[in-house]
Amino acid sequence: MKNTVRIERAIKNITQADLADLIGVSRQTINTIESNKYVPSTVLALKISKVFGKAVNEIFELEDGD
Amino acid sequence: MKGRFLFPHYCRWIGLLLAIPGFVLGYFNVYHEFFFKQLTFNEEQLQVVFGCGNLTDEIALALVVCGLMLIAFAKEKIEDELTARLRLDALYWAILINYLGFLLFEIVFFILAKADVYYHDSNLKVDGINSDYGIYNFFTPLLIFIFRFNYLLHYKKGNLVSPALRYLNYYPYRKIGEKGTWICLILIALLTWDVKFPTPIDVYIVLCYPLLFMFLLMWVYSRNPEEDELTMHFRLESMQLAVYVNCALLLIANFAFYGFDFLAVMLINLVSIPLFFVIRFTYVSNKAYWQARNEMKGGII
Repeated sequence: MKNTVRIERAIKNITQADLADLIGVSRQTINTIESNKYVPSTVLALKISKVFGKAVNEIFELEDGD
Repeated sequence: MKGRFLFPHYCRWIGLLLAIPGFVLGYFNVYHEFFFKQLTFNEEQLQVVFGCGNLTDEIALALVVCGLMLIAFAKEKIEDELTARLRLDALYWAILINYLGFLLFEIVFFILAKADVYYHDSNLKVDGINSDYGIYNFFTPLLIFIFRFNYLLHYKKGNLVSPALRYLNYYPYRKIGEKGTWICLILIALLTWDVKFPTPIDVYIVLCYPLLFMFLLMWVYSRNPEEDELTMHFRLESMQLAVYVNCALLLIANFAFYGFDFLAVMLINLVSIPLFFVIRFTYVSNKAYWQARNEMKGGII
């Protein structure tokens, strides 16, 4: 699965730490999600999309291998 | 997040083929003194590594441990996020029950031994600690895991209420766990290198190891300062790897140390799961932390 969290963050101009605070996780969790090392739960994905005011599938997208 | 580091599905059947003969052989070896005469070796034949004696019990143990490993960590036919979640749950309980059981056994055994009731009747006398439980402890974590995992998967199917796993608070339990573990490890190292302490040796054996396990358990079962689903993911992986490392060490120690010091094998077995867990868990948690930090320094917001 790939995602555009990093890009969305840049658009909204917030840091990983800001986003982490907003949704109540650690900064390293945001970091591993952005580098595609960790697939977040649905709850977390929904929280992230809520922060950016977009639908989940606009931020997270399936890849061929999934 | 799907489960990682798993064996292919068919390994479950290979596991059964290994474990069942292993248990039968082990049972007859321990309780009926059965052994294969061909497997008796003296020191010259085995030279340095193996020590001397009969290898029947080692083979039984190796069969049981390998078999249970394959059964426990073979993939399900359909491997998904739920099975990964259930594995964490089962590992959590397997390790917790195993070590609490061990601590309880140690306390009861110690009291009984002091009262001179139990010790002389024991089938499996080993100098000092552990005794019978030490033998079973080689495979109890795997057994508890297999039972718990299959119970959740097959009997709770459909109405699975995902029970939240409870952890102790970071403060003060993690701190106590960390400091206690270090103190116990240093004490044990000093005693292993023959630093003379004024206390009699069995006081240290009776106190140091159970205390070490207690502190390690506190460390394993306490929260990180920041806890979220990624931490849980790290926990699962680390616990699973800890069980792998434990089994590998056990198989090596099983053959390498026999006749030399069976107690050493049992201690390695007991300590390796929680010890490897805390090392690996601390490592991956910190690695993620530093990576996040370095990226911020590198100018990527």
